[in-house]
Amino acid sequence: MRLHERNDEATSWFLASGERNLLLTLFSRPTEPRQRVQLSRTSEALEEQCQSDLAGELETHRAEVRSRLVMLLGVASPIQTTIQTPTGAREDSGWILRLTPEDREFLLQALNELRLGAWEQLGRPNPPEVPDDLAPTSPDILHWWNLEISSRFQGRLLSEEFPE
Amino acid sequence: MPGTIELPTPEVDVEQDPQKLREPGYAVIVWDDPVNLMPYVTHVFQQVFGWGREKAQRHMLEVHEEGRSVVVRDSFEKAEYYVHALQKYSLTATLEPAS
Repeated sequence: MRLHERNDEATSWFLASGERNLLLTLFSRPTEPRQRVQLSRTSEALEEQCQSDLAGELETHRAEVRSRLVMLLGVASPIQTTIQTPTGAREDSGWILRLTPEDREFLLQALNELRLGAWEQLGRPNPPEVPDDLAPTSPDILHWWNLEISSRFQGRLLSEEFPE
Repeated sequence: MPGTIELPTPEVDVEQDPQKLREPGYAVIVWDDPVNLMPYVTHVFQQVFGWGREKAQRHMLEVHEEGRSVVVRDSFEKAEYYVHALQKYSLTATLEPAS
């Protein structure tokens, strides 16, 4: 994933075919169940009053965001481009994903949702780093993979769109 | 004082009265967690509150180093709106009666 073009209305991102397929798969799958979101830590009355509104709004929002991203990935345009590598120029084929500022925020939210869902499934490890002794047969492999891959996309999006 | 009428003070249980709960004076607090990335939190503050990067980073660091940051004090409706906006980004944000 790399920034391809930017104008006043949107940014266009080059996605390798594998990256597009990966994102489509991630956003099409059912999400991991998330833990209940707390609205207030000090007021039980506030918590009780607002909890149902918040939970319902979040659930609806997350479903809409993922649906929107699947649609955007579905209408991405195929592209053949030339990239420079240390060994010279080479042809590269992939897809152009166009993101308005609102869509960019949706993508960041959806990627973070994946990260947090995976982290919760892993038992909220602190720090959230893949353990050195993780066995190849561990049932946690997929959660760690989700955590890592969504972090990479999120980091790329932020660092290229908003460089320090 | 002449010419004024002293109204009786209604006895209301603040914790049970939804109207009281909606009066101004609520704080939005963002809590530290080990999973949200620091550049992401800074970005979210910029987007949700329209802050510049410097202010957003200051609050992000406060969350990281002190465990929490009060990011807004406002009416119930506005504070609730901000909590919902932050929760959409999966930040750990809560709404507390301002003390």
